[in-house]
Amino acid sequence: MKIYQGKQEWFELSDGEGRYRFPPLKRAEYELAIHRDGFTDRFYKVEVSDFDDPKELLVELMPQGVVAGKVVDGLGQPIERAEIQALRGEQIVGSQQTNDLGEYRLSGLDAGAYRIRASYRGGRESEFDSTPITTASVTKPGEFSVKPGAIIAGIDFELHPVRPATIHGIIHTESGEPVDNARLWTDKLGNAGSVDHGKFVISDVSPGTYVISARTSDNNPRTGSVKVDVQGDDVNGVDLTLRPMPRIEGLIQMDGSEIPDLSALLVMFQPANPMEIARSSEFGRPDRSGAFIAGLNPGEYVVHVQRLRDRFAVKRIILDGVSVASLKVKVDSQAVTRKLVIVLDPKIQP
Amino acid sequence: MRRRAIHLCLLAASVISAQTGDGFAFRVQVVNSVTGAPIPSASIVLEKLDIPSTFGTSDSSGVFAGHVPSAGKYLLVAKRHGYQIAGNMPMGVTFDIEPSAENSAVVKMLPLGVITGRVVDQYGDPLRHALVHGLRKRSLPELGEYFEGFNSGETDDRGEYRIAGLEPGSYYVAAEYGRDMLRIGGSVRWPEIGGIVIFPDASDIAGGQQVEVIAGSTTRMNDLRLKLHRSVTIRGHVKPAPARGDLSLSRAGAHLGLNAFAIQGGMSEPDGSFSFEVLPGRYLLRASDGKSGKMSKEITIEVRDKDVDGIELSLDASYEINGRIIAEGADSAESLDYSKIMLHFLGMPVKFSSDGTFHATASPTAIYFLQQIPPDWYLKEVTVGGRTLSGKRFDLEPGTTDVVFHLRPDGGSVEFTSPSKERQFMVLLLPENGPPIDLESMLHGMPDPASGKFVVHSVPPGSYRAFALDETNLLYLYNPQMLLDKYKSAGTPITVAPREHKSVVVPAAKIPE
Repeated sequence: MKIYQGKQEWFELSDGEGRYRFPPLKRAEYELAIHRDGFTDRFYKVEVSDFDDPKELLVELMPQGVVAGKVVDGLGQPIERAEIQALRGEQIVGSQQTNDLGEYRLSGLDAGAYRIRASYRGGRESEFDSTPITTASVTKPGEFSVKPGAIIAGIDFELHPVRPATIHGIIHTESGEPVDNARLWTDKLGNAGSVDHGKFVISDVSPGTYVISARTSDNNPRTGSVKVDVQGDDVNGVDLTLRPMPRIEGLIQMDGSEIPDLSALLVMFQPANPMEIARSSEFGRPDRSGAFIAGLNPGEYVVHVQRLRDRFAVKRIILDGVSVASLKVKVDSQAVTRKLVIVLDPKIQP
Repeated sequence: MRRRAIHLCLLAASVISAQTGDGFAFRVQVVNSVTGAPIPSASIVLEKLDIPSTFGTSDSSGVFAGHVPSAGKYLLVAKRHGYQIAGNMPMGVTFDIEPSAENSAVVKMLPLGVITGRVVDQYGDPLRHALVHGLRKRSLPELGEYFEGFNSGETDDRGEYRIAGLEPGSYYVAAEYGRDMLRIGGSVRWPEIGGIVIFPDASDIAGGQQVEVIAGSTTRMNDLRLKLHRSVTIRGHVKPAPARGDLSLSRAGAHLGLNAFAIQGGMSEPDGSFSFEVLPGRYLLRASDGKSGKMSKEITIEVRDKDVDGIELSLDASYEINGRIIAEGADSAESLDYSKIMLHFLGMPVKFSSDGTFHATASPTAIYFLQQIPPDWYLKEVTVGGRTLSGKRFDLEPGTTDVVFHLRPDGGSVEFTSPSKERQFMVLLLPENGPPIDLESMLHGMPDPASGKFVVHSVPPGSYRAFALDETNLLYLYNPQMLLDKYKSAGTPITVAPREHKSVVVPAAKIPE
């Protein structure tokens, strides 16, 4: 248990009967946090009035849930060291490896709905190991509702590990010109290597369907995606066409102050939904006068100006001549150029 | 007569099936070496230099059959969780695939053992995320006795663990809970909580009991009761405040290699102050100044359930070496160019004076590396404080220690020719007599793939055994003394006279499975 106020904090462990006692504290507001393995964390606010009539604070902790099962291969043999993941949306909130019997118990799950994925990557363990890598991954269709303290058993998987494949492809513009210096990523693997003279190679790809995306970061940003189905064999000749993407022409202005060198600043466009992984943050790098260009995939972004230190703050932002509330900008799929003005205000120094 | 004709027909059929357009047929079966039962789902690889590996998985009968592109000697590797190749061939077995034969092999795999049990805390509640290790007592000439961690298992929400993949033998079972194991999310920072227990109920390995693991069996243990403690802080000062103060904190007693009590390193603050977060126990603490080379004495700290303040470490000890190279042989002493010899004690190379003397600072446990000795010279002897050194490691007392390297100009050389250009070999040249040989001190090398040759210079005159190891027995590289003790006759005897230059072809060492 922890009680804290600002940087001051006190810790105590409850005893065998669950009782706890903090040393005498000054009358003030505090935060109280409780953690016990196997239970959902709880947080309380201790009010000043709680000191008027001191009494024992009973803390009730909710037991977490467990999902259990077994992983076997096509011959019914247990698969050891398969990774079991609990997912909320695309976020991994718990993971566990199978034991030598292929069994797993994924515990520590707060009440809620989860999808369960089993994946395996075996084979080569060192550079001297000649055993080929084999991989497999299966996600159970549908969600499992985990209630407090519940044990959902029998969530079994059958995996068929195969050798991972390699994807070869080319990236070009609509007019067929090969594209270099593009950033390449996939929806499941994240960054997926580099592009060389318009050609790309993505290695170690397990069976599944992937969306391969690429974009350039020059003054004429382009982007494109292609869906690829991998069934075990190498995939050749993937054609990825990059098209002009929505573009922000930006300018940083100072309100009522002399313009310093603005090239030290960085403008970040952060996806408004923090759980979203399909889009990453994009950046605009201003020149000395504060002008910058950024390419944005369609969606909503929050605008941050980084490296302002404590001297300046963002006063307002103006998109196509209209003031925008909450520092949020929305970009649709039309590949048009939009004008963004970020107005900074010198902070009043204490 | 008729029976003989049928026999010949069958033989012809088998030869045809052995060599087809796809290559040369083979059949491998993987079986349990204890029960003889087939092992399904084993990964199998056939390797041969310069051709792509052939690989597959055994079926429900433990069989993998296929074709390889060429005949010859293959390394056959089989892997399956819970098993290892039986006998003395952990990296694989050789499989001769002949052009006109039915090529079949049976790979026997030893089923490994499992230790299972439960870990509870001091209140009897199951403890999740405890790591339970199987530890084996080992001993090496340079390191002395130590405990090697084999596999480990993590407890689940019921406190249950399984340590699988254990070779048959005796194990200590140690459960730990602590650093990096407390998986608390969110932004709240929590103090470390942890502890350790060694079966049956000890906090130190001296109080532990070993458990016997039998091939293919599961051994169920009694509950391990692991008392959880809150971490406390050790604070103190290094005096005088060093320019670059390094601190080393380790748990006293046998080194168990556990995470919760791993050796901690740290730096002192500019004013010499330092602090460590530790779990209760006995610790050894030492400070050193990387710039001056000075060290403190190692102190023992008993940590219970309260912070330990006011530790003072004085940088008043230094471990220095006054050394020299003695070039034996009156005629040749002047011809030795010391500036070309490289010597270091796991630090900066030492600088030699023109008469072969040098000065160096080292740690209390030092190791020397002497390289680039002229080809005809060899290292005859090393003395530390007047005593002849065996191996390369030695302990230093605070203060200054004399270290002398005796070089002689009548060393020999041996040119080895690999037994086969098609396969890679590591050649070891081990002296037949003298003190135990360690990995750091022995002469060894790998022939150049193009010429199949390599030369060992600076060989002291004497009697040797040369071993050409391949993939199947390369692990003996790490235990040359065992190789010499058990399989001396598998090595080629070589005698090197003073200033003699020999050329030998070393056959592949035949080490029984």
